[in-house]
Amino acid sequence: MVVIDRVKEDFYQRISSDHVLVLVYPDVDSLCACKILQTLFKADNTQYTVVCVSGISQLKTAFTTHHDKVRSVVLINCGGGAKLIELLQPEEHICIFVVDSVRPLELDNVYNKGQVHIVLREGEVLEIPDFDDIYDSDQQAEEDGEEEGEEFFSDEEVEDSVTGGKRRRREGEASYEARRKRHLWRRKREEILYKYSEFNYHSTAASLVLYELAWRLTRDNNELLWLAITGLTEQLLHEKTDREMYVTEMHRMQPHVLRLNRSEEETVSAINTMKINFVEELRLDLYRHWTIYDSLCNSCYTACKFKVWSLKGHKNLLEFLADMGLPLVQCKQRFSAMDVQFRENFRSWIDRSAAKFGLDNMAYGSFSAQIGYKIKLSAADMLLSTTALIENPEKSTEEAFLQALDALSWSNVTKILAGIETAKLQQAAIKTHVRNFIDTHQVVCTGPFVYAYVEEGTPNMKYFSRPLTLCKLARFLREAWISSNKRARDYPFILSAPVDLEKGTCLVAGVPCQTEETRRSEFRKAFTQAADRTQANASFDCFDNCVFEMQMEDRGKFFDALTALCTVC
Amino acid sequence: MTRTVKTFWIWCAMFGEKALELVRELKRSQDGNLPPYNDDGIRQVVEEMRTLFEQNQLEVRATTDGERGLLSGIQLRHACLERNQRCLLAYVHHRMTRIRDYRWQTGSVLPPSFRLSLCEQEIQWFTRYNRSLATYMRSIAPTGLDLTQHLQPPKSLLVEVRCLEDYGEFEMEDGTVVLLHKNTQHYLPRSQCEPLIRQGVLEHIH
Repeated sequence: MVVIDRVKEDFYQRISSDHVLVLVYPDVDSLCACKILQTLFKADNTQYTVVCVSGISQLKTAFTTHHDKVRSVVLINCGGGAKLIELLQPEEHICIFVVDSVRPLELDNVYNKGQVHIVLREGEVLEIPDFDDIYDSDQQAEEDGEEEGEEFFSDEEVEDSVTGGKRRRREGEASYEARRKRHLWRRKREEILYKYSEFNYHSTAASLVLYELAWRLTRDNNELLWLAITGLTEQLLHEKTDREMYVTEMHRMQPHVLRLNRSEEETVSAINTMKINFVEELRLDLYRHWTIYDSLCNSCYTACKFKVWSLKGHKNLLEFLADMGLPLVQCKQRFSAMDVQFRENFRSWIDRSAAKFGLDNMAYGSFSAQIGYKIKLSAADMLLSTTALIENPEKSTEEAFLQALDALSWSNVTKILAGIETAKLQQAAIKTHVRNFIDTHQVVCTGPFVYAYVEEGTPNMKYFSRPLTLCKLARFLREAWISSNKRARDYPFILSAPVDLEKGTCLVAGVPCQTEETRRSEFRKAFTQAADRTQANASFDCFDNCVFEMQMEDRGKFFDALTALCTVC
Repeated sequence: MTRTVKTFWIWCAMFGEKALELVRELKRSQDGNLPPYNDDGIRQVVEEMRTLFEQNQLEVRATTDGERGLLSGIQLRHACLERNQRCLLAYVHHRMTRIRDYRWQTGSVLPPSFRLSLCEQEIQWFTRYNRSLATYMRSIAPTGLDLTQHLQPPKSLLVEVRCLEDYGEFEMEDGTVVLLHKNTQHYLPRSQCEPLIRQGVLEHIH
């Protein structure tokens, strides 16, 4: 079992002398992690190759095309849940390092001797079953006879009861005992495995693991810290971790922020450097770069609280603005163009009025960064901008990935701003869609879960054919549905959108119910089982556990099976 | 009297116009692109200068013979002569600088389009410059050193590049092979990448 928690010695110093292949899953956390790793490699003159892989099949092709050129491969947020040795069949000299926040990890990877290394944050303990419970020590020798023996045993058991145990004596007490033991062991193994893989959840973000590596190497600076913060914020806003864990992590980041941003000497040269501050961030998307009105209408939290799609809700929203004392004319201007007095008092006013209108969770602790007078971004802005760039519908996945990677470096402020513009469009498209869903009552509750389809040919469909945005829409829609349907809290939500009309495929995404505090989901298991039962043409290619692709015509069948399955459970 | 002075000034304003036009023409052309050597223009300027000179000679002789009131005219013509000379020199010198820069940027072989815009003497100069540069570069290190490779001292040995097209395998000097696929990003030795960056296979990421 090779689990690395001394990241510096066992991971970084081993790979940094060679050409390294870095395979990255296109989401924000992975991108940030990749950027941190790139910075470290640059400082050490380590040659590397970065390839974007969005699915298991892509991982395989990327690996097979590049594998004979390298000795170390780093997988960021991909492949931890796949049987890597079986899938990639790496040659003896290749070492694979996995930095993955998805849990549970495939046990074959964890217990692999020598070739696959799991990189964990220092001090993190992996909750895995014992080796002896999963792998038989003399498995190799008996593997061939295993299946047969098992069947034989169960047959015999049946016969035992009929013939009164004549055969038992003939077989011999010892071998019977051994087989019985084996049978029990197997049953226990299955039970353990089931428990182990029952829920999918996320552990420490990959960017945090790598940031701490940079810190150990004493190469940390504000830029890397900012990347780690962005990765952490993604975990909260994309519901990969619960709030409690986020707060714990925030407290761990705080000393780093303070250490790197001491403001003792305010010299002229210090103005143009990056500064990170702790802020109480509002749950208003991009409001610093948008208008207050648009932001209120399009942010998930406020839109669902006010139910802005209804006439009454909209009136309520206007009332809220009036209560705050913000003139509508000002609200419909860009935030930066608002009068100074409004802009300065906005925070205190919104805090005062929010409680009156039932917006109790309006703010959460976060960080914001600023470079001189150039630009000021909160971590959530950065996240939205990067997400929008990753899933830019006008570009191919790889191109968009590289664009987003560029935007992560602060020298490219224009790209970040372009990302923000795309994010606004995306956010507005999501809101319009949610409104349509609610207005036309397209959300169906089957009992165990709630589901909806994005119809073919709807405008802005191109946004929803990518996993991150689809999940975002699903979360938004879930909140919206809950806001009008109080009992709905306990239902997980499943959403499907067409991907490729010619091939007739669609993407299915699941988000766990709102009351599930720990953000664990059991979709993977349910989805695979339902697909198996209906023999639907589905490919579980994505590393994200709750997203997969399937044939459109199998969809109805699949949902029926899923309903049946969940009802039984 | 006033009328003659006026015509004289108009006449003077003509002087130097053609030379200035030569310089302007060069300035208007884009960097890295050289307009054809303006043989005709140069000849006209030289002719103008000759006329001016002859006129001056005549009047200087007249002055020494005792005629008065010609000196200011002579001085003006002389100034025109000097200005023309400076313009011509600037023209020739600037062309030379452009040709030299071209040598450093692209190499010792002139493409036909560029060659056509040079005059005979310029081509000769280019060949001689080439020869001296090559001799010098051979002499600095035991194996020679290509000075034209880095126009600025490189900050790092390796550069971050992005692949713009499927290039296939690329073998580097030390024998390692890198696969250059479209939309992958690499961190590779600068010296190996530069030709590919010029060819447009790779894009340098700053």
